[in-house]
Amino acid sequence: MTADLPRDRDASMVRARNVGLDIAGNSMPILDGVSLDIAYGDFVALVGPSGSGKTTFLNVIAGMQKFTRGTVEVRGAPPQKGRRDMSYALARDALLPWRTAQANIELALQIRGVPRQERRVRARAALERVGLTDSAGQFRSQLSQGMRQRVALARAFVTEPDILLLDEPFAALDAQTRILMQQQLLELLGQFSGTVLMVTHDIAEAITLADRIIVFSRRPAQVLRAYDVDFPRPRDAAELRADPGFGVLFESIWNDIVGQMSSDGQTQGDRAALEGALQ
Amino acid sequence: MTTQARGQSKRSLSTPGRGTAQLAVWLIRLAVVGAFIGLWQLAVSEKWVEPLFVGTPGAVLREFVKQFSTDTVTIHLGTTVYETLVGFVIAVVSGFVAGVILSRIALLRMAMTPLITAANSLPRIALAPLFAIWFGLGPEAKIALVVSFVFFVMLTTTVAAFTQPNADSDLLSATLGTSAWQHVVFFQLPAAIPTLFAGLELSLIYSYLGAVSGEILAGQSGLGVLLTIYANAFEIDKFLAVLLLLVIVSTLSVQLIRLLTAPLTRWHRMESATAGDS
Repeated sequence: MTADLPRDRDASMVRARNVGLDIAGNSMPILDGVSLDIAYGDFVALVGPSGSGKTTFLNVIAGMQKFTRGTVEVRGAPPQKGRRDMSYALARDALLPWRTAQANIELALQIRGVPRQERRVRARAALERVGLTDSAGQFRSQLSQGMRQRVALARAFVTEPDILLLDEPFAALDAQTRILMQQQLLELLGQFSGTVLMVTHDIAEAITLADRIIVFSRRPAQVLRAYDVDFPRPRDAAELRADPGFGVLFESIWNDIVGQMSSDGQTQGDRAALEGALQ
Repeated sequence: MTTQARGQSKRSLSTPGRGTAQLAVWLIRLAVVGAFIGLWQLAVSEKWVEPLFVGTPGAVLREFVKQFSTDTVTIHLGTTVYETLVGFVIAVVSGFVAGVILSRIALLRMAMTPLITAANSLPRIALAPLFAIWFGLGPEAKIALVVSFVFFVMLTTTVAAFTQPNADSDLLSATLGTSAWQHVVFFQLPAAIPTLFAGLELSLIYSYLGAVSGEILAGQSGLGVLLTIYANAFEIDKFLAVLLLLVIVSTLSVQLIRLLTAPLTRWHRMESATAGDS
């Protein structure tokens, strides 16, 4: 189905022009003129204040959220739910409790009608890539939170997508596990040539993983600023934090986001809440 | 991380001393049964109660063995089991089908819910005389009573099983681009299985209740009829022996259902065992 679509570095994966989402009976839109280009092979992170519509925009691209203005093209076509060349990893792992780790990964293939034998082989390989070979037969209740999220990642990768959407994939994890998971994702990306679009509220995570960071304004969302992240790959999630460039970039993005809060005359309390949320 | 994670992964089902706990559980069970029988025997021997009214453990056991070696009990048992199983199958199938229809069509469900509640809150045993008029004193009247008991049990559990909210897996299903049919097969049906099986077990218990109470009220054959005869004749030991048989048969059939459904609900028991653990 997607075999003939271009995969060279400059091929357009996502093209958004003045995307708006108005809510009936509410004068403030959720999205208000978002324009964005993502090419094949890009890793783009969306950051912004809480409630700024980042996930809504991700869902627009996934074809799960309608929009009211502008145009969106995914590989030249309107967004469509369940595209075979797209995977979406949710904030919560959403593993099916009645399926083993391996069967959860196979689910994505099963729905695409992949034959049983091939499913098994590919799911095994995906489990191995996230280091969970020994947990293949375990149910969700037997897996730690970090392991569940790794299974969810394996489920997203197993279909060999060209475009991977990540909605705060590590938000439910504790700080240490999150950094370990970021490292895991960096390693997975070593064998992945497609596009990643990730929503996160964690600036450090965005810098660690992405090639480009798009800062959303507060609602109604527009693109406030875009940053290129030039750290060479392969990256190390823990070491990168010690790089002076990391701190500079962090500070700059931080000020963008906090500026969005305080320019509206918001109180110190909101600032403190945001700082808490960003830790 | 891997070593630590693997350590965690084995946490749920292999707590140390599990065998010891199992032994203790069985000891407690035997002790409770033993204490009950001992107290019963003591109460009779010490003349705290009149054996004419409560029987004695030894006499009940003797009657149990004696009755089981004749055809009388097996014929009555056959009638009761027949009524129970036929009623169970009719009610479970029809209740399930009706439940699936109601869970798929929200409008119909909203319209029917108060009517179902009304029908379900009626003490169905009150219908027994009516069924006796319609179907006579044979098994058909008891089967009708069983169906009137069990249909609603299965209907309500089926509706509950298929309408439970599953926000996360619904979202996952949407992102994977499942067809309507795939959504049922891969998401809704497996999620409904534990509730459906619990409904099945409850249905079997209510089936025995319907059959035996129908027989007690009006009938020619069945363990309920036998119970009535013995009670009226003040044959308490025989009465209790029949009761013992009823307990054994119904418990065994419920255990059989559990055994057959256990492999499909293993995940659910594990979820429950580790609930609030993550």
